[in-house]
Amino acid sequence: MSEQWLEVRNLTKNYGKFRALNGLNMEMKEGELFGFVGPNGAGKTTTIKIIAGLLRADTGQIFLDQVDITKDLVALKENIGYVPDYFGVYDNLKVMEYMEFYASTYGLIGREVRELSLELLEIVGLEEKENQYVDALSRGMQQRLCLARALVHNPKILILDEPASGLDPSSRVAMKNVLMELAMNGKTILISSHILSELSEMCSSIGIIQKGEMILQGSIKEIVSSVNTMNPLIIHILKRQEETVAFLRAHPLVKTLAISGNEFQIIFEGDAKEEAYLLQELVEKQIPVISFGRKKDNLESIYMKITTEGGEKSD
Amino acid sequence: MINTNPVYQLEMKTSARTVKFCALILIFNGLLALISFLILNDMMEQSQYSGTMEYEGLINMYSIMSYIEFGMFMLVIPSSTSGSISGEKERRTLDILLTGKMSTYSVVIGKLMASLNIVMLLAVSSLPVFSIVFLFGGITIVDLFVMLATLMISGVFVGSIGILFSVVCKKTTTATILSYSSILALIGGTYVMNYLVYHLTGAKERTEGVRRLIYSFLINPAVTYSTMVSNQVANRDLLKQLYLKFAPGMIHGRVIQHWIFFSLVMQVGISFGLIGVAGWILNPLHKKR
Repeated sequence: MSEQWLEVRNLTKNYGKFRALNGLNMEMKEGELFGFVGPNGAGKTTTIKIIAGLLRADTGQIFLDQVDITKDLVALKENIGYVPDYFGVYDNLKVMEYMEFYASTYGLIGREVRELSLELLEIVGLEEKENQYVDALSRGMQQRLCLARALVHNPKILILDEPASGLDPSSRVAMKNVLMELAMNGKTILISSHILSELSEMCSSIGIIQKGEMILQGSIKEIVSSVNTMNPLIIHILKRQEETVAFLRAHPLVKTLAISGNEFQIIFEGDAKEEAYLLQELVEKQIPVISFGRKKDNLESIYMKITTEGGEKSD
Repeated sequence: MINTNPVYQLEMKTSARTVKFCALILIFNGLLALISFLILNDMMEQSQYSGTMEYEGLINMYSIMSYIEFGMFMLVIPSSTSGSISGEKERRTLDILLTGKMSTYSVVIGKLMASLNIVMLLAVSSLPVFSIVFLFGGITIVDLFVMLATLMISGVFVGSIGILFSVVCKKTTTATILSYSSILALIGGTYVMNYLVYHLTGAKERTEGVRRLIYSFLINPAVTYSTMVSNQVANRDLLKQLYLKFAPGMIHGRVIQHWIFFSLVMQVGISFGLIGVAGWILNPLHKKR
């Protein structure tokens, strides 16, 4: 099995003169819950629609488990479950009929479909709603029903385009819990969202897209730590301020120094090992250190930093 | 085969549940029953005075009811098909439908067949009213089935026009306006075209080629339907009148002898073409946008 299970290579898409995707590359591993973020108009929905087979890319390839699904439509339709950002409703259709209808569009009919649909409705917490009309369900329930519908053909990968948009907080939590449960059971999920705090709670990896290019991608842990090494180092001491200032000013890796009482904020151009040596030297100079560490960013501040600064490209 | 089409099944299930559908059957059959009652009543009253039965009235009743049926097909099918795909776009259910394994051609055919089935159900439900004419003879059951078959083919024809506009347009209103305009152009436009060409060209300029413009009526479902009804009731034939007016020299040609057959084959052929184009356009992977 390939390490990169879903691989998007050099995807481009133009709408007239507007370039929506500019050689986008993206990689996902099997069983991953991947968060896809970016500002409005960055190309998230275009990417998702191309992967779901709802839009043709101008150039580029998409490999799913080493099969180019841009050329193999059967593989694409069998392996991808798609949940759009808006839940469209047919009038006069009950929940179970809704499930059975979409199952039949994949050629699935019969008693097994009913049993499978019941299982899926149970997963999304709608097992008691099977005989209700779909248009009578709340927005949150409809979105969860849409999620169950997307799973009806047991796709390898589930793609959700801003599934929490327009949902109230409790519906969002319910949706998040369902997705985390699916991910724990081994389902590979690609989710685009603007709610970064939620993504950071549930996703194992993220990709940040801007102007049709993937500007940062990796596991959340890696991204946070790589961005944090560029953040100022904050040292809080108990006393001996003058010695500390003299020592830090003389240190070759300290570029700037800001002092606020017994707190020092420095731009330190060293890695984690050199940080450890700095701390060791402070302790050896008998400076009583209360706290020592980089200023920590969360996913939201990282996203803001990258997208507003134009972003540095990462590998 | 069509029974296994999921879109067809869904449409039938959801439309049959609506009050609108039940009301449509009630109003349509009520109207037919009222017309037949009035005609029969008139015949009976007249027979009381004259002592004889005017069977022509009964034949007229069949003609009127047939034309009402045709009018209903021409009104209901375009309205139903023109909203079929654009309605999916407006409801935002189309994307989900297209991610399934159904081909876009199956989607289009399912939608068209569901629309046709609804009007066929209306037509079949009206058969008891139609069967009044059997009491007095003159019209056979074969005539009724020929009428239904002609209606069905013309229904597929105008339905495929509606479907194509439904695929092309984003809004149902636009698709409906364009569908009705096209059908109006087929029915009235072919006459206007022949009329204009006839009056704009002098007798000497009216070559064989110009006279062949009469064949444009082959794609006019109203002319073909009228010809079929005229053949059944031995009434004034609209087609012959058109020939006499626009192409008198061609009245003994092979086309007029087999007009209904040629016209229906042509309508079926064009319908296949329109459905094919609609299915092709609907496929998102064919779109350049």
